[in-house]
Amino acid sequence: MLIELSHIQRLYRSDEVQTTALQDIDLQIETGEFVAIMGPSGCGKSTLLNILGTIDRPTGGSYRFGTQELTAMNEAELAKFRREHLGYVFQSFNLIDELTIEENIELALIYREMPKSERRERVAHAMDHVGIAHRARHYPSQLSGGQQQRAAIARAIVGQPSLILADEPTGNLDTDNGAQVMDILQRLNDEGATIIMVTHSPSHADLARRRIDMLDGQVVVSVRNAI
Amino acid sequence: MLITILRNIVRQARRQPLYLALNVIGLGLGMAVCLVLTLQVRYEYSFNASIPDAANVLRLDAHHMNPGNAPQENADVPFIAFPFLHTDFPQILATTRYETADYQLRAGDRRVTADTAMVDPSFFDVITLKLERGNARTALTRPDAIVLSANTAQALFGTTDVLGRIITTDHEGHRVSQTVTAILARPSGPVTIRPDALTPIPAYEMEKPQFTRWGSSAGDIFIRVHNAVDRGVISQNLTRFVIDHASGDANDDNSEGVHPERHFGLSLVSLRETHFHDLQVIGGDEATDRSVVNILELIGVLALLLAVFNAVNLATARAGLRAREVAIRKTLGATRMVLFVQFVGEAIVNTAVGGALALALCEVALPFTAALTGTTLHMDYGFTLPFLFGVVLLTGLACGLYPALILSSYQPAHVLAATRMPSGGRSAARLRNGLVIIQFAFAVAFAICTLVVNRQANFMQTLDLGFVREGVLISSGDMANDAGKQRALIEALRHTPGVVSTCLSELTPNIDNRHRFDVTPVGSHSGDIHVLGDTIVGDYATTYRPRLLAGRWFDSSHGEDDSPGDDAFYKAPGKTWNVVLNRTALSRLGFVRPESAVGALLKSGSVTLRVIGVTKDMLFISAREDVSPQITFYSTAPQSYPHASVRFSGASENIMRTRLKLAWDQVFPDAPYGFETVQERMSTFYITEQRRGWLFSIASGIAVTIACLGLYGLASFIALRRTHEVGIRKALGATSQKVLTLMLRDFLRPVLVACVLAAVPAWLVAQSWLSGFHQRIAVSWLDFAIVVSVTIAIAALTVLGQTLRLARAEPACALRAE
Ligand SMILES: Nc1ncnc2c1ncn2[C@@H]1O[C@H](COP(=O)(O)OP(=O)(O)OP(=O)(O)O)[C@@H](O)[C@H]1O
Ligand SMILES: [Mg+2]
Repeated sequence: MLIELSHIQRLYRSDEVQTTALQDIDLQIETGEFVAIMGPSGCGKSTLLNILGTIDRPTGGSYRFGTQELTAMNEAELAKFRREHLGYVFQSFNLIDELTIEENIELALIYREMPKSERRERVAHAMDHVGIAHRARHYPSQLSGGQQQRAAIARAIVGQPSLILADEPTGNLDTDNGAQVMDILQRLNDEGATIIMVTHSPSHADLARRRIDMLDGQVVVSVRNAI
Repeated sequence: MLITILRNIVRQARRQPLYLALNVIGLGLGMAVCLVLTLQVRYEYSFNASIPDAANVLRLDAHHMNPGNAPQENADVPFIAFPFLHTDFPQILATTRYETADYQLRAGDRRVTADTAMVDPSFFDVITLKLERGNARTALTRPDAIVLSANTAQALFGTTDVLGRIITTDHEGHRVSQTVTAILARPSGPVTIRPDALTPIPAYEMEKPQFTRWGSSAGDIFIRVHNAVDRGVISQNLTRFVIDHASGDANDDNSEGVHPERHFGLSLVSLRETHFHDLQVIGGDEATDRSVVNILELIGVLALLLAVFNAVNLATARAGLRAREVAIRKTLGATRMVLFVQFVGEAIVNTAVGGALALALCEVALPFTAALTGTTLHMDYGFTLPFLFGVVLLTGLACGLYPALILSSYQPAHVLAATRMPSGGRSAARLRNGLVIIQFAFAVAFAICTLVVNRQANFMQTLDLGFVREGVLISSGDMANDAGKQRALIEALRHTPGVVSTCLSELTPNIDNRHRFDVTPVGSHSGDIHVLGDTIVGDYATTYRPRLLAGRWFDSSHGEDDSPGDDAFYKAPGKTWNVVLNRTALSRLGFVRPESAVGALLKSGSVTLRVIGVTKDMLFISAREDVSPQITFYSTAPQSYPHASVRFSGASENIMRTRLKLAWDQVFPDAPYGFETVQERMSTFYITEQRRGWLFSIASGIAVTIACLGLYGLASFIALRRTHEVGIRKALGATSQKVLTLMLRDFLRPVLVACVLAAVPAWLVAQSWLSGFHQRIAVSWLDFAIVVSVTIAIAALTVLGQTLRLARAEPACALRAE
């Protein structure tokens, strides 16, 4: 078992109101799975993904990754965990405007101890993988949405993570570009990466091995797709 | 338009109070510093400006070029030149001699010691000081005339309505009745000519040798000319003048020898120049270093510039926040021009608010600055308001133009479509960094110079003077050449309780009279060395505790120790007298070690001097002045115009002062001098540097503050903009600590670059300022290290809050920002 969530809860408290973004989530994900998460807007998909990615902390429950209990880790340990195991593809690309595409991708590696030459090699390889090598020296604002999303994917995979989290990776893209991105994700999954993807597109969800439906902060269905 | 601008500002004040406050406070501080320093500089430049046509009033200065001594300029010249000036130079419109002395003035039972100028009747033709009462043309014609300053008249009579009143005056024992013929008006600006009283030169004074000898320095000679051309003609012919009138036989004391022009010269300096010119002129006016004054103005302008940079920085950084406003206004039909004018207008109104703040700050700060710098500086609204108006307008434009250009150029479609706020792009970011670098470079350079100035001021106060300055009191005036009275004074002082030892000497800390003569080592082929002479009477060694480097001190049991004194030894040809050298005389005379000089013989004319001891240099002079080679005689005979010095113990300084004054008054009831400490006598030497030091400290403190205000504003803006980036970095595995280092490094990089840039110019400025001192500190790398580390620490503290908040941000939360 790679991931095991039990009784995960995420509350947002402001002065008067309390929002329950996630409520008692139990979920297990095996190594090598490709999971699609679906659900209406505001049901807690991004929150769940953030907690899986440890950039947000649950207010209750436990999160085991392999043999590690992540909710017990401190901030520095979590940062180390992220750089060793995780690749992140954000809904809104989240490339840094002031850095070139190449530098943006390299960002996923500079927090590891790795010689510069190896870093460069891996970055080049990742850019090849998603087909944006010719845009290496451009700034994000000079790229189309599809290209930016592919750069974001390159950044997510350059560290060769065991788990890739993708929050609506095709949300801002047209059909063609969306299909290309799905293609890349499938290829990565075939190569052994575990992928968890949020999507609003049923057809993209069908490409995954398993589909989870959420509503009001709870998992309502979890079905395996026949392949 | 104005309504729109004001409404915008009010709205900003409500929505972004921090930004507006940083902006207005920064500008206010900058303008206040600029205003105060400009007033200060204007004051320094306005010396004697209130005297009509002061540029054409020239003072004749003497130049002495003596072997073994640095060339020296003296404001006091031999009066023997006076009658020839008129005959040789038809360009001269009027001349006057001007010799100052202490007069005791008495009216009824009121007594005042007045710094009195003895002048020629033509005085008011040369220097047209304004009169409150009386007639300038006749004021000095009668020999018993006396012109009083308004303050002196007030002190004597309680009123200035005293024309024709008779007062009793006492100068060097000549007691006469004089008639008040005019009252000087209080000067409307700073002047260097401000005697307490003016009187025609008395007949007995004219018989003194300084009126008839070329070798003497009697007092000032002032000349009025028509214009600069005439001044040039006279200047060019002054060497000729010296050759024509000062030549004489080599042994003639009244002339300057066969080739007077080789070691004696004359030059002209106008009254408008003396305040800056006289820094190293002996007997000159109270002077200020012009380059320091200019640096002050530079600091003022730079402080303002820093504030402008701040405003530009904050405005361009925040331009993005107003992009949507611009886009919407443009969509609604505003032209670029209208928006441009609107934004520049906002900047000017902001600056005007800052200007009002500056005026208030200036009003508060000016009395302090005046006290600090010892000036009579005051707020002159006739100058201040127009000046401030101009400054506000220029500053407003400087602050507004570039941001307005950026803002008004936003394309609405672009802005409205973008998800992130525009920040002016990479070029604007570069500009912002550049401005921060320049700001800090100036601040750091100021701070380094400030540290050097303060260290030098401190150094001068604590400098090893070559004698023990604590526990010594010195008479503030000298005494007449009267053997009986001098002995009586020594006796009276010696029997005063608390007195350890007493002596008389011509040279005391802050030398007022100098007597020089030539010596050569016997058997040497080198030329004459011009040395300063002093003669001591009494127990000098215990009183001053000079440090003996070799040989012995005087001892009355050695017959040849007791000489006639430095003023008269040459009157005993063929004799040998024992003397003590100072360290400088030792090296100028060519001795390597102090021991080798002991026993050596020196020749001065037909008299032989035997060196019995060598002391460390005793510094009675300003650190700006070169130490003179000095030869000291010992005498039991009376001397001309010595000061009395006393070492005391077991009683407080003030008690001793009272006791010594009592003893003095018994012997010299008509010369009401008191006793002063070494510190008091020498404070004029370093007081200006000390005051400058304070002024510099405050100015550079403000410069750093302004720079930090800017950095703070910029950091808070950047923190806002980079929150999102921090979220991304953290999601990618960066720890808080990594983010903290990264952000701190980014914020501090421009500060570091600034430190590097500032180092060399600061070093050059500090070095050139220090070169004006003979006793000085060396600029050390520590000065740089201290300033740089303090600046970086302050800058780090400034951005730390923002950076910490940024680094601690929860990534999920940070990603949601914007
Ligand atoms: N920082 C926060 N403070 C308060 N409430 C929050 C916060 N973040 C999320 N929420 C709430 O939590 C719930 C889940 O939000 P989440 O972003 O996970 O939704 P989502 O399923 O990803 O929606 P979408 O499909 O629109 O992206 C929402 O009701 C949202 O309003
Ligand atoms: Mg979402």
